Amino acid sequence: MLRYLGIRLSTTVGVLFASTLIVFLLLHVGPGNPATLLNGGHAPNAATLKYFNARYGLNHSLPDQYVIWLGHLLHGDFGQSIAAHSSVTSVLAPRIGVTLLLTGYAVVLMSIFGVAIGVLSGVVRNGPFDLAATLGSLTFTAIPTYVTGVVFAVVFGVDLAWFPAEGGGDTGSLFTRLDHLTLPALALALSSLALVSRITRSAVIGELESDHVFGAKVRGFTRRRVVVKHALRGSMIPVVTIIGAQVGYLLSGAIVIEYAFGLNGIGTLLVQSVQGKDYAVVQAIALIVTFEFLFISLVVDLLYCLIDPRVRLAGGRT
Amino acid sequence: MTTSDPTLDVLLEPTEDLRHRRYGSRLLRGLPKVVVGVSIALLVVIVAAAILAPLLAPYNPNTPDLLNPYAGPGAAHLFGQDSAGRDILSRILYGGRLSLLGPTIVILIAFAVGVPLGFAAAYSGGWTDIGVSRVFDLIFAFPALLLAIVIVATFGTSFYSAVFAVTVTYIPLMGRVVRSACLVERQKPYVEACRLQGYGSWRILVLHVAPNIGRILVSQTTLYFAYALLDLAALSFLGLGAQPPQIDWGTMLENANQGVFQSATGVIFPALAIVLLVVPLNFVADWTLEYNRAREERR
Amino acid sequence: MTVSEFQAPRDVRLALRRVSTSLRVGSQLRPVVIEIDLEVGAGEIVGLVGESGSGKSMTARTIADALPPGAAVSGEVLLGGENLLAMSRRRRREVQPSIGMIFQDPRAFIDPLWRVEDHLTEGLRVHRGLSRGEARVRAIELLDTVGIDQPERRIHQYPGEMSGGMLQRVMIAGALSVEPAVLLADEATTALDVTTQAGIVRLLDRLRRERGLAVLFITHDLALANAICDRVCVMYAGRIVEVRSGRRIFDDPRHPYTMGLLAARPRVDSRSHRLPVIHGTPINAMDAPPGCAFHPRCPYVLPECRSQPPPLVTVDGGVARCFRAEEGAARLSASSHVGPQADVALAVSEEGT
Repeated sequence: MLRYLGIRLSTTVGVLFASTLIVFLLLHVGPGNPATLLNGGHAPNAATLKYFNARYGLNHSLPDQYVIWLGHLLHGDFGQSIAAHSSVTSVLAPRIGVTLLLTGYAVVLMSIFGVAIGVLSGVVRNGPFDLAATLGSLTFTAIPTYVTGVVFAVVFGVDLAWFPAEGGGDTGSLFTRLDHLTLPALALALSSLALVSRITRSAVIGELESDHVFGAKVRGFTRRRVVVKHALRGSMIPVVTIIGAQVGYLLSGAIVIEYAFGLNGIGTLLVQSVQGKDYAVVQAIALIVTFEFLFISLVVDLLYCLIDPRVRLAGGRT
Repeated sequence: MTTSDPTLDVLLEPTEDLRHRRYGSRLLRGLPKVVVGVSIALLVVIVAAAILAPLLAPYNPNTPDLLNPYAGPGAAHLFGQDSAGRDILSRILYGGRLSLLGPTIVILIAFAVGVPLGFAAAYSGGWTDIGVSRVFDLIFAFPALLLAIVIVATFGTSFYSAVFAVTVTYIPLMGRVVRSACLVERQKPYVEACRLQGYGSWRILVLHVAPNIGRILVSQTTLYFAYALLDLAALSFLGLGAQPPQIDWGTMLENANQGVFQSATGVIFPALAIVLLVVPLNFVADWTLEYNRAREERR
Repeated sequence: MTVSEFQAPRDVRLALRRVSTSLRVGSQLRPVVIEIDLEVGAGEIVGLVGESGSGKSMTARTIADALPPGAAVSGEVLLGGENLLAMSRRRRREVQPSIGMIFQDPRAFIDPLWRVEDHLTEGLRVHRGLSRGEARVRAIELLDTVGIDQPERRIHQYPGEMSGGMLQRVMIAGALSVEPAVLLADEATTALDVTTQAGIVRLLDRLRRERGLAVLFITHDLALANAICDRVCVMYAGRIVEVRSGRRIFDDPRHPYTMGLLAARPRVDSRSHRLPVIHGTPINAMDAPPGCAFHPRCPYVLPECRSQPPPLVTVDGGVARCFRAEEGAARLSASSHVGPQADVALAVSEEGT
């Protein structure tokens, strides 16, 4: 178990460094020189160039530059935002909460409703509920978040006015903020929720038809016990996989949803920074979101350990 | 647009969770034929409409009519007019061209690069496999859309930049499918039998492995085409893809979203265009998958 | 004359009377078990032998109430004199623990996510109301009973950490935990290698002697059944075609199908390099022709075999459902030009599962 943890942790750290390398290298493969890219596409003046040389070590060799850049990163210094004329950290700090709240909200919605719908339709297989859930999930899986988001905003926000359709989601009490984020979170979660319910359904059905569940039925346990104790746990293994994978999707989907609903999160900031050629901010957000993504993958792998003894025994996912 | 591939897992482990054993009948065991038929018909109509846009479009898609912004649907403008009074129907028709061209390029390049890489990794094994797989893993370490955005940020916002960015994220997807399918196929007893009979590995590859993987690739490519379309539309929606005066459905949706308080109907048509293309593509992909699996089981 | 008139053991634990089972396939009902009579007494092992599709597993599932949805059953399944098929659902659930069942593949039938302890104690806690601690003590005893070393250590392990033979013992321990009156062993030794198989068979034999367990031993291996069973029932196309006690089924088979099964076994003392086969392919009850179900494959077929169902004929130490049951193998092959021994082929039509 500890050995598995160690291996998993070290690979995550390895991939994390590799991802910083990619973000770093992208700066150098872009058109024009790095200083120009960092300066929003314009050739920097002498003072700015001096700052870039000092901050990024642009006059050093490529490996040295990476080490200098990484050193700053490890101290939490993401550089300067040319659009905001202040440090990237100070630009990001007030916005990251909205993004985390939105993504977390969507993850909760996706997990709870996705698993609940999937389990129900797997257990009452072929009934009317199952039919509706299956057709619904087949359709909604294919609909992208931004379409759902825009349509939701129109239908529930503007026409029915159940929820606020716009608003920053970054002010007020937690309840007001959640109220503002309900519609975006639902829009963000919907297609993942559909997919999670689909996978859950087939996992539950697979388990219900498995030999060991059959064995439990023969041993005379009640259907309730057979379903809850014997079928559900095993069926959660693929479900955890898909939820973990979908969290990654939600992280990038949040960028689009924030933009669609005009939320003041780092997703909207990322889009504005790309449009405004604020490269240091783009780098910072890319690294933060990737870090979140890798962190979630790690958590998912640890969850496997809890659910599946075979993983613990083999020292890795089989 | 998804960073993972549930279908892939299902493909590679058909016995594990989706194939229903024993006597259970299966809901939607193969979609109803009607659904598949309607899906294919819809796809043909949409592709034809995009190709024939210059003949079908009632107006120039970029001619503004500033006196009638956000006009609702009517006899003169079937789908209404957008923020600048441009005819939405004409823009949908013309927008379909770029919306379809983008994923076509993405899939063609990803196929041309990813498939040989996947084959090479699976067949030569050793360092080639490790190298290729590590590079793929590195790209998978980023959420796909995020990586695409960063690439666009590096190379500038344009249609082709967006296509390039999305292609980068699809090459490893394609490669991984081929690699895993190849590895699974290679372990099957019949390949072993061929090898024992002394057939060369190229002969086995071309005659036995390739056709089987080809079937998986057909449904997977269909699905990836739909995903790539969504990714490109997402980039356009964020203003990072096609730039005016270019039109695609993503930019139309963004434009309509800006004016959502003036006209709610404006968002419906580009949204519908995307959905009516992507949902049938999913159904068709699902159907080819099911069709091939049924064939496999019959043997 | 019925099969059960011949079968008259002391303390009858399980009795089947004219039991027929049909499975629902699409909109039709397909018979898989037809009018079976069977008895298993306390301390007895009864073999149920047949090829795949003969209905032997479905017989066990009929007894254990483990048929797929939509199945129809008629006749009587008596457990200690009570008819399982006529009970209220509630009573049926109450008696279910009296029927233990073990299967071919323990790795599939024991939840891989559960510790051995959890698997063994579940029945004790749910059906017998034991506390966790009491159940654990009992589970350790059970593991010891089925011959597993170091039960205190093994109980903490997961199925993935054990060998197939050991898991089969765990499955038996699990089935025994609630002290069933009857144990149904459905191909319980088929997947094991020969030495492990012998160990499991010895275990079953010991359990029935020590505990008076009634065992229904289902297998496709006639020799194995003959070696350990007090009585062997041979099934073909959903019906029992021959029941014989002791070693008689081996030494003096009376049904041509049984003869075919025996002849198709490889033998050490045989000079021939080729094995005889039973012509044709095994059929299930659904496709059975009129008359005797075996007649299309039978080398000794008479005209009446094609039209009338054969009677149940009392023979030495049992019964056989054949018009020519009284003749015996030697006379039959002398009277026929194409006896089973004359056929040549490389393999038998028997399959593992």
